[in-house]
Amino acid sequence: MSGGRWYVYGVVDGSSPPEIAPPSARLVTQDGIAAVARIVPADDFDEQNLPERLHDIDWVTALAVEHSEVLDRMRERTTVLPMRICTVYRSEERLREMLSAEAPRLAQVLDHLRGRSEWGVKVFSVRAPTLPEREASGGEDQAGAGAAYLLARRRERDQVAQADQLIDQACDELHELLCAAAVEGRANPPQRQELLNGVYLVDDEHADEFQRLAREPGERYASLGLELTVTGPWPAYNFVPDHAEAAT
Amino acid sequence: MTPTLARGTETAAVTTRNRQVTLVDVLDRLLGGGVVIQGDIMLAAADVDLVALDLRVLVASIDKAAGR
Repeated sequence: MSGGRWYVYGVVDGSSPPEIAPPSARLVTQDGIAAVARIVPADDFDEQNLPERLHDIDWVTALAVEHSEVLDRMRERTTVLPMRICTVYRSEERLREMLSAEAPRLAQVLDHLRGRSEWGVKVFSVRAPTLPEREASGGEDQAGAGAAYLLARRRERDQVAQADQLIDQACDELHELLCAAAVEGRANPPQRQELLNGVYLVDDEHADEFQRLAREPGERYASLGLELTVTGPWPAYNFVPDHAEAAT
Repeated sequence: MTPTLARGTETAAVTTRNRQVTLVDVLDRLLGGGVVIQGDIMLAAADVDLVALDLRVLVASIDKAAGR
């Protein structure tokens, strides 16, 4: 089938949508909800072709970056509710049907997100923690070289275990602190060298304070071999109801 | 190596790395977040898993290149 498909990036409040949609994207307003959408080639976005495209990591990456940039530009102007990547309709009519059916629920979520943004805080382990240096005591000299070696090894092992405990505690405390400063917070499963993969929905008026809180423990973390990244503001990708989950 | 060049190189490395971190964050959010609404055409869960798997391989290679 020729022609285009309607790719939906997200939705915004249709009663007062921003005047300009990002270039190449357009607004389709139905029942008070405006979809930020773009007509895409059917060749790329048909059931037959899409799975194949998905194996092309460069293609997926380019699409993800574009999707995120369109939503970022909308987020600067209004509250935006992001859609999962590759949500596509066959026609404008089908898109309008979806908006009409989902309008009450979408409006409710938009209300919840208004004036709020998502922030990401990750803690990475980038090197071994700095262990405190111990002075050899007189007792070790008397015990002989072999015993002193074993004792030193045991102390080192204890110190590593202690450092691990400190690291866990630091991550837990930070997450707790940030949850208290946020409307909602969640620790997503850590990936790779991540020790904390936290996402937080924060009132925009408290965003500066939130960032300050998140970055504050930097020095304490350095001695534990940890590095901290704060990203945001993001559209609230992690704070939307999961339709599939709700349906099951 | 002159100090100016060294600083420039460092900045470039940091910028590249920040971009990589951001790209991973973007991909994680787009594959794992956002409203899931019944579209006419959408990614099946199995497809998302496949993309995520490819993504892990990509990220692992980036980490390796960055010496992490």
